[in-house]
Amino acid sequence: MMRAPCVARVLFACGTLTALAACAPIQPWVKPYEREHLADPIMSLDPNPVSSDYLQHVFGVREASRGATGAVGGGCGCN
Amino acid sequence: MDSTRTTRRLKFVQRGLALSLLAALPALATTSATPAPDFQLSERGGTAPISLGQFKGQVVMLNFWASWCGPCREEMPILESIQRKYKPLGFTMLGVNVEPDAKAAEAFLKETPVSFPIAYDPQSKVSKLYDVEGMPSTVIVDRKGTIRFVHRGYKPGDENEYLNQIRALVRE
Amino acid sequence: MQLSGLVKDVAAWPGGQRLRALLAALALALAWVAPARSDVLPDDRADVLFHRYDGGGLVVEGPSVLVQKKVTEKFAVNAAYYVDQISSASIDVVTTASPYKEKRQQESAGFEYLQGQTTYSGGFIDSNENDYASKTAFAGVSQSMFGDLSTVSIGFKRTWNNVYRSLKNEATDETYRDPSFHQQNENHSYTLGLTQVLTRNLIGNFDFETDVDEGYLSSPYRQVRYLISGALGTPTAIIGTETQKYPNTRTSNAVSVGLKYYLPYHAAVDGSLRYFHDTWAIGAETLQLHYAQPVWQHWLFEGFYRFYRQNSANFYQDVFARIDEYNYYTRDKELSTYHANTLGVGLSYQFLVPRVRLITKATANLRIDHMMVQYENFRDERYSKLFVGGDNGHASYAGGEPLYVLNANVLQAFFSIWF
Repeated sequence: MMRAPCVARVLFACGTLTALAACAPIQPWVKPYEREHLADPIMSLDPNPVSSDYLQHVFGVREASRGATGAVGGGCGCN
Repeated sequence: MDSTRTTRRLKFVQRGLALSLLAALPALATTSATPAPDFQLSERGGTAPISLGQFKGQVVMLNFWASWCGPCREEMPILESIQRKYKPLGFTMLGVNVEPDAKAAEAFLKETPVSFPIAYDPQSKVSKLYDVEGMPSTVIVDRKGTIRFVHRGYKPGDENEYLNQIRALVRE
Repeated sequence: MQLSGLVKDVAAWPGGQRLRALLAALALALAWVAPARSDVLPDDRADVLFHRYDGGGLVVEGPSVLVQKKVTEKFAVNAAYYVDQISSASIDVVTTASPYKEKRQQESAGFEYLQGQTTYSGGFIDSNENDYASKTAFAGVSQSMFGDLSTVSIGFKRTWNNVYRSLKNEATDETYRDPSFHQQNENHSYTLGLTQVLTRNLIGNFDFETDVDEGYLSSPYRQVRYLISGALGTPTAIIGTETQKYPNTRTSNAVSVGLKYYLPYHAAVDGSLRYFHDTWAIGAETLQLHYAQPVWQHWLFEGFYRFYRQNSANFYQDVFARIDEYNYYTRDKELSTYHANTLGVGLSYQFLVPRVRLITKATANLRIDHMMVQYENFRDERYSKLFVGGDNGHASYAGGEPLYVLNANVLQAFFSIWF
C-alpha cells in the first residue's frame, strides 16, 4: 500500500489526457446544419425544471430509492 | 522501489503528450489562403440560380444560417446593417440557408427582411463544401475569390471583428 | 506497452486514491479536450407554480417560484422559493397520533458559469420545518464535446440534516420542539452524467449516482408493531409497539438510461429506465414514458406514464414476531415492498405579451397526475384500530388487515415567462 508520489499522480492525469486528445479528431456524425430537430424546443430534455423538480420531490418522499434523476434535491423531513 | 519505474513510464507518456498536443491542436486559426469553392444554388425570390463566381471582384461575406438557430436570428439585423453600409464599396453579403424546408426561413425573413441575396442549400451541398462546423458560420472572401477569414458561431460583439476585416479587404 | 505497464502500476494504488486520480484526470481532460468554440447559457426565465398533492388523507400544497437570469453573457444566477403547506391525516398519523398541520419552507440559490465548452455550476438549498432543518451544498462541472454531440457532467452534493421532534401543547394547541430530542445526519452524493446525440432525431442519456448517508436516519415518530401473544390475524393477537430503529449508515447506487426521439410531426417521445440498489437490501426499478405533441396553433399536449416497484429493506416488517427481534426494525411504508403506477396529462398554452417588451415568450400550464400505489407487505392498520369490526363486517385483526392501497392526485398549475 505505497502512496504514489504527487508528481506521478499528475503525470498519470496527463497520460489520460494524451489518450483523450488522440480521440478528439472523431468527426461529429450529426453536422451542425443537420441539428434542426434537435434544436426544436420539444426535444429539450427538461423544458420546465420547476415542474419536473416538484414531481421528482413528490415521488422521492414516498420512495426508498433516490438518485440518477437529473434533479438536485434538498433534504426534508417529509413523512 | 516501484515509484522509479512508475515515474519513468509517466515521463515517457508526458513526452508523448507534448507531441500529440502539437498534433491535436485544434484549428483555431481563423485565417487561410485557399480559393473559395464555387457553387450554384437557387436564390430566394429569383428564377436564375445564384453562384459565388458572379460576385468576383467584390468582397463577399458568406453567412450560413438557419431559422432554428438562436444566434443566427440575433445576427441577421446586424448583417443587414453591414450590407447597407458596405454595398457601395464593392461588398455583398450572401446568406446561405441550410434548412431542408424553406417554410420556416421564409416566415423568419418576412418578420426580419434583408436586402442581400439569400441562397437555399436544402441538401447541404455547400455546407459540406465549406466544411461548416458551427451555426452560424461566416466565411469572408476577398475580391480575388480567396477565403480570408472564417468565423464559427456568433456572440454579441463579433460584429466588430467582421467590420475590421471587411474594411481591410474592401480597401484592396 | 509503456501505457499498459503504467495502467498496471496505477491499479496497484489503494482504491480510494485510484478513484480520486481517475476523477481528477477526467476533470482535467474535460477542460483540455475543449476546442475554442463558445456555447450559450440557457435563456432567462421565471416560473411561478402552484402545486397540490392529495392522497391517503394527506394534503400538501403551496407555491414554487424559480428565477434564472444571466448577469453577463457567461454568468447566470438562479434563485428559488418553495413551500409545502401540510395538512396530514395520513394512515401513519391517524393510527398513531392525531391530524396535524405543518409548513415547510425551502429557499435555494445557485449560479452557472460558462467558459468555452465548460459550464461550472453550484448552489445552496435551505429547507426548514418545525422538526427538520436541512442544508444542501452542491457543485458540478459539465463539458460539451465532439462537436457538441456529447455532454459529460460530474456533480457533488453534501447535505446536513438536523432532526427534531415536534410536541403538541394540548392546552394551547401549539406545536413546539421537544428540547430533549436533537439528532443529525449527513449525506454525500456523487453523480456522473452523459448526454449523447445519437442521430438527427435521437438523444440518449445516462446517469449514475452514489449516495452515502451517515448519522440518525430514522424518524422519532414512527413505531413498529410486534406480537406480544396470540396468533396474527385473529382476535387473540395482542400487539405492542416500540419506536423504530435504523442503521447509522446507508450507501446506495442508482443508474438510469433514457432516450428521446423526434417524431416527424414536431412531436417527441421519451422513455427512461432506472435501477437502484442500496446496503439496506432495497432494490427498485423505475420506468417512465412521456409523449409531447403540439396541437392546434399554440397548445402543447403531454402524456405521462410511470411504473415503479421496490422491495423492502432487510429490517422492514409489518409485524415483528417479538420485541427487539433484530438489531434494526422499521414499519415505515416508504421502506416496504410495493409497486405504483402513475398516469399524467398536461396542457400548455404558449403566448406573447406584446405590451411588455421585456417578455419574449410566455406559457400557461396545467398538469395532473394520478398515482396508484399497491403495498405488498404493509397492512392497513385502520382496519384493526379504527374500523370497529373491520370493513363491511369482515373482522380485521392485527396482522390480517388488508394490504394498504394509496391513490393520490397531484396538480400543478404554472406560468412561465422568458425574457
